[in-house]
Amino acid sequence: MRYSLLAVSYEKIEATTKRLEMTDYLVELLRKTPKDILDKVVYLTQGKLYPDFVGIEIGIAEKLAIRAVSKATGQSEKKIEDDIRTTGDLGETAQQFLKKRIQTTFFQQPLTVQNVYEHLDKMAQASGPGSIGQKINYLAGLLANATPNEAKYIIRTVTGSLRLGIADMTVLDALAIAYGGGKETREDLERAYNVSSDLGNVARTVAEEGINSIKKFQVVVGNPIRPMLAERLGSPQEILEKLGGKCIAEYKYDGERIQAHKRDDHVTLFSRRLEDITGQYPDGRELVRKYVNAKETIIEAECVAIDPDTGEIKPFQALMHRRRKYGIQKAMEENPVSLFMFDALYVDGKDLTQEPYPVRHNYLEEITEKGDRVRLAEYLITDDLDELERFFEKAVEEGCEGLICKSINKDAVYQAGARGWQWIKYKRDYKSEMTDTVDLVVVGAFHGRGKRAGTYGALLLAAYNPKEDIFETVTKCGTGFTDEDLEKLPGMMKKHQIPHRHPRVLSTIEADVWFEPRVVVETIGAEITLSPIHTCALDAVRKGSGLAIRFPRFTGNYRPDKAAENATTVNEIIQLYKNQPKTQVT
Amino acid sequence: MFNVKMTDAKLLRDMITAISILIDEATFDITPQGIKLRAMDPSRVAMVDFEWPQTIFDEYNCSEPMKMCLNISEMLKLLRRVGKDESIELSLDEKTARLKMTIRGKYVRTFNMPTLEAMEEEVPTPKVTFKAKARATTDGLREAIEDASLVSDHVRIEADNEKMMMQATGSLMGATIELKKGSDALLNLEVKEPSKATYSLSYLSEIVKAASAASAVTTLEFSSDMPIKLNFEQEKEGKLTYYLAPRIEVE
Repeated sequence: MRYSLLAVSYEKIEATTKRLEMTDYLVELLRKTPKDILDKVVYLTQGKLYPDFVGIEIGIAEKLAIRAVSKATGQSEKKIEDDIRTTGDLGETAQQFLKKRIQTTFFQQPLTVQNVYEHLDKMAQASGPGSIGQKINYLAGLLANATPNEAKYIIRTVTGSLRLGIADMTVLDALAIAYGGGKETREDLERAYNVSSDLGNVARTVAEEGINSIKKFQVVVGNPIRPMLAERLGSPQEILEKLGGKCIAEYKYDGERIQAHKRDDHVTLFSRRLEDITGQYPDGRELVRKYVNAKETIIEAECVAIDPDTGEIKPFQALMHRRRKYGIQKAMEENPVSLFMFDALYVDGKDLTQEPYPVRHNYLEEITEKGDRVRLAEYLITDDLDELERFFEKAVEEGCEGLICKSINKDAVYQAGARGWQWIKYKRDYKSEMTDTVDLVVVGAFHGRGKRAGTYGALLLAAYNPKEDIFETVTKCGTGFTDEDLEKLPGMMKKHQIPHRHPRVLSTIEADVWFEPRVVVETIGAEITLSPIHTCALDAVRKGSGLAIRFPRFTGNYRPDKAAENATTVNEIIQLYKNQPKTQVT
Repeated sequence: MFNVKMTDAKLLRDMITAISILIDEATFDITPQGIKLRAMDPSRVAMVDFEWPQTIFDEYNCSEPMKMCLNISEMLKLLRRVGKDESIELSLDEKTARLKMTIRGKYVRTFNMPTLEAMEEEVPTPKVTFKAKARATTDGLREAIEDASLVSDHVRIEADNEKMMMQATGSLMGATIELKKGSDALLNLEVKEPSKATYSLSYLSEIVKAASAASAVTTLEFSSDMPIKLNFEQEKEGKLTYYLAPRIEVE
């Protein structure tokens, strides 16, 4: 098939604003395409060479593309750059410059789709020293044989700016008409796509083998399933109503959602966008390998950065250090990950996607061996509004974004690739910011593990309530301590240690070690939130809730100048809570 | 079976260097008579036509015609290690599809590299009736082209019965280079019809620079607005010829 045919279709599709017309053009193109390259054509119309999960991208920097255009047309790079300033699009510029090509070439040959695909594929896969030159050469070679119109689309394809707006769903519509036997087959095609995430494969299969093969599409370990998505509501009341009065609520961790595919010892991790991110999480892969007791399985989990010293979870930003090729080892040491499992889609030969959530959850529980860094996402089955709200506060205080509330009905199947009301997010509307430090009293401590064995993992800190003359806990702080601090702390606290909770300390948390309220430390956190656990300002802001400091950090300053009674008061914490700058959460 | 020996390994190194400036992967035609390669650069602007008869080698064994595709830049990496007075032996292991390269000098080292799947495209030679033919020293030609490269990325070559001119016009500066017939640089000039054409200097300079190691005298043929053919004469038998497509004059 000539590439010009594709270019002509692109042109038509680009010119229309009507989705139905776009579908018609696409149908026309798919019908003209030989069946054995239908997959390639489908990938190409989406500016790709493979389904996303394969992880091979065409991408070439515009600068390199300019060099290739220069090579193929004989125009200087500067002239090309100048022209881009007026057209705003290298594709357009290439088209113009090819029309008035100054450099002639030998033996031009018309481009075929196969030929273009092969060259793009070689470009995408070229790596190592000298690969930049090779990429430019492959591209220049294509352009040398291209018509101006073809050149425009080749350039747009390689620079990632082929914006035809052909959504996955439009391709499915077109496939249903062109090869499925009519619009009514669209649903089958969509299901096949949702479980395989490979539009090209779906296209070729329906064309070559017919719609019956499509109906037989199965979940396959190694092929990511398009993730089920959640709707969002603003209150526990609305959520419970929508879910039929009762639901299973789970922590919505602030991490990266991953789909883990395990076959024996071989584990692949896919991102929410179905990219293979196994390379970013060698530790995550190991956890799945060790703690998931199934030969073949597909599970979903939230991958969360944790503080290696305290085991506390860290905000999403801590995972940013994973988005790179090098230095993963270092990132793994500084910010190891924990997995919080929340769904099982396939277990040892059984496709669970059509099972209701409680069944899938049971399977998950069965195959997950609990470990320090692997467990099920914290969950609660409830029909109580207050309980749900409390659970939400606890989740936020512990560093989560909020909750995902899931239907426990029989029809709560896994809706791959769809956003529906089976899953509902409950997140905060805004995020606040703690701008000032507070001086808190050390009232208890927790034993450290791992690197911190023999010293404390975290301190239990409290604010002073002068009215009652008591100390109310407000946070558990394990961050900000230097190695030296940690070494000295047990000795320093020893003289204040008592065998039980001090009578003037109000706490619902059971500490490993208790102290008389003496030592004051300066602390800052990300924000102050409502808490169902901490006793600071209990009932003052909301009935049944106290206040807590989220993501607390010791500033390094001990305050020996302050007596415990000079510490930040509960009223001051309430003021801080009320006055903190708030930003909308999207 | 294919294996050859050459006393002077530098000969091979220079030849591979000359080929490498246009192509990354080269499919060699190997016959009992010798080795041939005809290939275009990916942009289809230039072409190399290379031929070594078996007599150029000190030993040459080829049982049947075959194609051998090599990654030229990788091969060149190895050949850059060749020193003075070293000999080289190439042999293809058809089972593993790897090329073994033994270089003998003060010590013996053997490299091996994979061969690639051969490309099928047959490249014909361009059919052009050349109206102007010049014979120049390769060094002289290289100097002239280097001068022109200082001011522009393309050059117009003109020839009449007396002389050959090179005109380069850049955005700021210009250059005119005159090569008189019978001068030290221009050994001979035959012009059937005054001709002029423009060529890319980046190609010209790379070609001439790379070929100058393998050749002392160049025959250059062209016609108005037609390709130029550069034949780099070889000391022994063998052929190293380039074709370069012209640019269209826009002034």
